[in-house]
Amino acid sequence: MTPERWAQIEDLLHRALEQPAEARPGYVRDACADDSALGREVCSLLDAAGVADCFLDAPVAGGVRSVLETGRVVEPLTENAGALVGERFGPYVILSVIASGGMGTVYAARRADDAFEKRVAIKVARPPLDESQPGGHAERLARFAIERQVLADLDHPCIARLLDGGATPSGAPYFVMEFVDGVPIDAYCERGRLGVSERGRLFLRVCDAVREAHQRLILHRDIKPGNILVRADGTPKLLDFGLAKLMDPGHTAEFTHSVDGRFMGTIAYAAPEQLTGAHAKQDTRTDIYALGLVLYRLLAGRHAYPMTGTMTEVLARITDVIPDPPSTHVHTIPADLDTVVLKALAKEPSRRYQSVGEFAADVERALVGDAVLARADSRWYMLRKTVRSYRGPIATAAALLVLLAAFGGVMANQASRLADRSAELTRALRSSNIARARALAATGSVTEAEKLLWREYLSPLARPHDEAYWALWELYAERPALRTTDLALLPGDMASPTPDGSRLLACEHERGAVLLNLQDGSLLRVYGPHTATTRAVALSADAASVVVGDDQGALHTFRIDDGVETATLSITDAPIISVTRGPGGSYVCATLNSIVVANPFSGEPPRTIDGIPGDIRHAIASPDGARVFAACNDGHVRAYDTATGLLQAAYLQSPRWTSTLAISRDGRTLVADTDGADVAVIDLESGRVVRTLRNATGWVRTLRIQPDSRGRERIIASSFDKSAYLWDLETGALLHAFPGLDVPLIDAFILPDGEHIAAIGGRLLREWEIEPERCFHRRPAPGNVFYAAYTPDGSALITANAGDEETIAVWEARAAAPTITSTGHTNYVVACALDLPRGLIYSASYDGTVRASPFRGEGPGKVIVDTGGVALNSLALSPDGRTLAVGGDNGMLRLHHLGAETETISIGPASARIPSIQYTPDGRFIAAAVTGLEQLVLIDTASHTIRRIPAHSQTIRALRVNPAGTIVATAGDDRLIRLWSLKPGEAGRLLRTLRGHEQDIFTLDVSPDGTMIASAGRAGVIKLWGTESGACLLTLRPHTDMVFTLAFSPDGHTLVSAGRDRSIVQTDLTYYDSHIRGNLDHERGVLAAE
Amino acid sequence: MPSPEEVTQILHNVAKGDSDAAAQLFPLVYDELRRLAGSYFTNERIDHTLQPTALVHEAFIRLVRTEDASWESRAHFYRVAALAMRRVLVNHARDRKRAKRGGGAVRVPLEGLSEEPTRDEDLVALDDALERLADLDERKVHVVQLRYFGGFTIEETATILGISPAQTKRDWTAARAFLLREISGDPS
Repeated sequence: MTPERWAQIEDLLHRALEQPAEARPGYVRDACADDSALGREVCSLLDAAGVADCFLDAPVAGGVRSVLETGRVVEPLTENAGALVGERFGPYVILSVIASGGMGTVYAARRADDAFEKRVAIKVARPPLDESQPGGHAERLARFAIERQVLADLDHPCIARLLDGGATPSGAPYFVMEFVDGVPIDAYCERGRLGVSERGRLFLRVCDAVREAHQRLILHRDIKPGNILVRADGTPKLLDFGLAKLMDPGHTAEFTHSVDGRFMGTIAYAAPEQLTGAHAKQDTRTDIYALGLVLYRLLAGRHAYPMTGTMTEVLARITDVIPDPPSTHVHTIPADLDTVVLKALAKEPSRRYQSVGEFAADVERALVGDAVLARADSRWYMLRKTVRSYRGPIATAAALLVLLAAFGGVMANQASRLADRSAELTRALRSSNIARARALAATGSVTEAEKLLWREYLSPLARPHDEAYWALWELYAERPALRTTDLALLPGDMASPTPDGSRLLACEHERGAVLLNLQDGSLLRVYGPHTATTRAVALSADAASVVVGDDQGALHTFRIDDGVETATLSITDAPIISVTRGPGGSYVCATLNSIVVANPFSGEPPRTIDGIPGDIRHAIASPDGARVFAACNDGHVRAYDTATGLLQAAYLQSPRWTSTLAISRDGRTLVADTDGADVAVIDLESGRVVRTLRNATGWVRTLRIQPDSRGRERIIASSFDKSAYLWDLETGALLHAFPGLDVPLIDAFILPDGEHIAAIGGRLLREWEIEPERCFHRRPAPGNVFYAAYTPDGSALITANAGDEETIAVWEARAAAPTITSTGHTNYVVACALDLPRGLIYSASYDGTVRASPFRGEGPGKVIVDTGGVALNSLALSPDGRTLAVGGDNGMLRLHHLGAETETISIGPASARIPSIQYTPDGRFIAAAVTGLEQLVLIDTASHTIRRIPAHSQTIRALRVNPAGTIVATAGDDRLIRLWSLKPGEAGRLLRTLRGHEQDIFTLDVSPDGTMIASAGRAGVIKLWGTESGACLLTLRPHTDMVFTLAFSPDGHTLVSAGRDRSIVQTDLTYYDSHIRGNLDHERGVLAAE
Repeated sequence: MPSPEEVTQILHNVAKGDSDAAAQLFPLVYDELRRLAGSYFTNERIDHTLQPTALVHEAFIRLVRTEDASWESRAHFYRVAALAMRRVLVNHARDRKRAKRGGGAVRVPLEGLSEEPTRDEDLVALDDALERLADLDERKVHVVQLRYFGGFTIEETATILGISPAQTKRDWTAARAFLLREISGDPS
């Protein structure tokens, strides 16, 4: 049957069904007079339609929907709330229900044995939902008792006292508190029509109470106007101090509230870190944020964020959008108070006030008109926030304005040339896109930056090696994503690469164990028809076999290469949910509540440890196999003796699950995910958590401990925050984070070569080099280096080094050490010139001499020019090899005709230096830079006529002629690079100015093909520019101090730079080309899909 | 293993139209359902007949633990969960059937279909018939999955699929007739 035929049949079926039942057969017969097959079809369907009460008419059983509607979320507390009225809680009798909410019910009560009729409030928490929660009942209550005591000691006139507490017969904890008769602080301010200053004063009293609690290390965790009641006498009272934690140790309250409006209040006062899951990061600054929201509400009369729209939108506002200053709503609020409030509301805790005291002091200053300490957000910060919110679903008008302001500079540069030609406009937009991508990358939004750059790189307007190429290059230098591979299927977590790194064993939900080709992502093999959960597959130690635990409890072994099943072992009845390699050919298999250690080939019976509580998610063995560890859903990691099956220890008491484990080579350190985004490093000897790694901001999915190429053990995590993290096992130092996939990661591991990390997210696999900036090859220098250049054939690098003596070093390619020639100079050698026909290298020095030393030979060199102490700065050999031009400190240019006389030409005053000179390739001109005048001087070598071009507004320091002899580039302390024409007829005309070098420029070079200019200077930053476009292509930071010299290699592939930081750096400009190529196919596919 | 927040986040992403996220959601829901189903069977906490309500209930609590606000993301969860339920139930039915009599298609007479409870044969035959229906009319398969495996009403199914209730009803009537005929093995 075809869909068309079916449509025909269906149509007739519906028409027939509209007829009375008895008329249907006749109707169909008539309608199908010329198509009896159609008639038969419809009739048979009519028969089927007539069947009443078949199994299809009742949902398969209850169905999915009822669950979604009645999940744990909606607690029938409200209905039962009244049930306790009249009950006794210890000495208290419940009088009435005050309120009922997500966390529990608040009752008014009185002491039954009290003559004074003292009223109290009793808050009864939700009964524990899950009896298997960490810690038994008794333990939980014991913990309450301790913390309750801490809270009971909290005595402040503005804090409602905690009087007593206990547990109801059903196990729900309850708390007895001072009864406060008052109204919420926001309503109090509105009703009393309090002025800004009065509101501020009231707020300061609240701050004082919070400060007192913080000093005792007690957090409130749930500050909101509803928890701050103001009594008739004007005293504010904070309720529920510390109860949020006591009543809900998992702090899941915020996430389990329904959004029908009842509990929206809690979300509204949650800090960004409470919503992004970084629970571990909650501290006093979380309370400060909530206080900031309260102050905002008091001042502006409204919430800082609109609470309209879907939950997603509300959450996005809280985590990404900077609220409008309160004064936009109420104009009488002083600007300083705006600043103070917004500082308290900073998204990152580190940008907020660090203590309530500081916050209160600034509020006070703002109220009396003193200068506040809070600085308004810096522009950089605003840009960063804006860029972040740009990622989210909401881009506010304000955000767009800031973006425009930030990138307006780029646009303005282009504006003069925009004219009305659309090509120009497109180019300008392109530059501004690339500029935006660079800003994104610089502020950490690597994924977005990369996406934007690939779009530009693959645009039809792109040219090879243009701005987009270099921007990508720069991005990969920071985050060396070697390649991105589209996988044939969506693998599960805990995949294993084969030792040669060519293939990946994974488990897919439909097909079970699969082998993927890591080179192209293709599916190589499926092992058996067995269904298995994603972690129930392991690679044998020799990588020859694949071991799969199926969900019938059997362990299957397959030969990796041909998929033949070589062993089957039934080890349990339950589905196997995780399989990991144990010692001696054994495998550790976990079911939901047991661990089985089995060897498919030994014939020994499997050892089973049964009755493990808490729902296992992952299990591993110690390297010696003596112990097995289980990560459990109840937040514990449990250790069992493999031989006896006895519980030896339980680690962690995470309020959340633990789901992934790894153990160090020596078996002494265990790592496990805890509290969502954190990684606990446990010392197994002491059983203590020695450190907690808190870098991930999303939930950690997999953890491994693996050696890098030098055998150092690393911890590697894949996180839901879309990044992989790499830590040093020994120190816990975060070595690198790898953002760059825009989906949550499923898995991450170090590849067998120890040099690369692979991360899987969705159907993508991405590989990074572990070490960034591998494009830099460093060689040590004994001291300052003023000169570095390649020989014309590119076979060697020449550097002039200061040190104990002045030397020239020749670094042959591949040679471990350079050939050193001692020059005999008594001061810095600042310039050299190679004279290959004579086998000499000339050197100019601050000691006032030029010496000729044998190239690659022994020194010291012979003095050929002696100025009698006038320091020399620059040196150039004429293209015909007959004349050495030497620039000195007295404005004099010396032309030393080799083997003949020396001419002297004055091109500047006696105070002028000549820091740089160069012959044009045809030898007709010498270009010289003259300081003091800050001129570019062109000297005709035949006529000695001089042409002066005012070039820079501050000290001119460098010039370079392009290989074609058509352009000379100059630069200096005004941080500009200017390009001047050398073409006959227009020589000296300014072609363009390159702006953007942040520091004084000391040195320049033009690439051999003339397309790029390199500049460097005071801060050690190197920049590459497009000669034609004038755009900054690349920024490199290989040096920690000033760069005095740089030069391209003759093939243009390498850039050498050196200066004061005692290192000579050769930058491989082709290095990240392979990374761009490695990601090209994937990115092309992405673009095509769009 | 998915964490509740992961699933919630994935749901948000699905709602935003991220197809990768949809691809990620299915295995999560499916794995969880299957893991739980397996433990129910082996622990004999329930007898021969699967109780999907309890099962999905637990899967949902484990996976999401929260009420998601936006209808779109819930609609996606429903669709995915209904498909996952179908796969879980049918796979179990197939396994048991294989264990009992070694496979082979079984035709059931029409009048036999009204029996309670649902038998493995019905489920397997239904699954096969749904595959055939998918070739003719994909949307009707969604309707059946949501109605039968998801327990949704006509109106809810209509909302989830973004079609009118009247259309949903017509789809359901035709699909039901088609499936029953296919399962009953009437010649066609």
